[in-house]
Amino acid sequence: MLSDKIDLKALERKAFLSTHEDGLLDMGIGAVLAWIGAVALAELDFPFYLWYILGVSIWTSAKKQITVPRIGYVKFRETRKGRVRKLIYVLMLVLTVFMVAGVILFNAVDEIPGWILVIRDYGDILFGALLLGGGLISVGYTTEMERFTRYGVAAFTLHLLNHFLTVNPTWDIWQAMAPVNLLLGLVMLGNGYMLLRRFKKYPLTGEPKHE
Amino acid sequence: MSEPRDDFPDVKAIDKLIHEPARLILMANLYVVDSADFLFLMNQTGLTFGNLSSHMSKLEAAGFINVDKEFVDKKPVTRLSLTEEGRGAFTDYKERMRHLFSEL
Repeated sequence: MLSDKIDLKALERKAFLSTHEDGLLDMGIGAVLAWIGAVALAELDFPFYLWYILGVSIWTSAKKQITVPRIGYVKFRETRKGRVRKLIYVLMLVLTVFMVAGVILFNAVDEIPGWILVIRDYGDILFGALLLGGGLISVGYTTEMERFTRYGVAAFTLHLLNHFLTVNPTWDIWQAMAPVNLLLGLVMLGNGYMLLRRFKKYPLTGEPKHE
Repeated sequence: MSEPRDDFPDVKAIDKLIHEPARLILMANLYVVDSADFLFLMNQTGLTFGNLSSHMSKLEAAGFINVDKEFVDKKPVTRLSLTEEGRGAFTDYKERMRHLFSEL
């Protein structure tokens, strides 16, 4: 649409956001979260890194089949790609630190000072509220997708509340976080699905033939 | 057609090829990305296929944009990107317009 003012930053932001109007990212993260919650509640053993691999391949394929034929393909400049890359590195680093700390805390009980073990009691706050909530807020902030900031705030608040209102105190950390993960995952899935339905307003025309 | 007087040198120096509204929007959209295909630009600019095609040809002829045509999964895909010259011309246009209005 032609307008009488051109804001280049807004134009770049609009271009970027249009590629994520499809709700596929919401559905992907939501499906993984809901699955982690359901598996923990059902006391099944399913390595969730498999869902990560499966999720990434399904997401890539869905982007190619659903998004690109409707709105086309765009490659962003290094500044935008750099911001997203930095976010991925930071999240991976934080996740690794949490994972290593988790493995040490939950396995090497005898060799670490007792006061550190207190942290174990707040594992759901560390993993749920800080890692998941903080991670989603960072995604929202870096990519300027405000709905991810809202998911992050919801994850942070619900995990914090859930810590003090845990239904069953004998549950392990994954089970304690499961109700919130399941709920949040289903909300993200639902919202993603609504976005996808709206996204399909773009006709599946592909590129017209040039003469 | 009459030309502006010489006391407005910046007005005379404005690149008329970029100044046309549809081409300006097209150049601006390409300026903020690395490259984009035809369909993406149609959606972003609101231009019709014919319009976009015609402006694309003019900008390509001026050396402002690169047009790569290829087939992806047996479907035609046209990728557009600004050339160095095009990026420079757009930056220059921006500066001239800013300068021009700050002086008025």
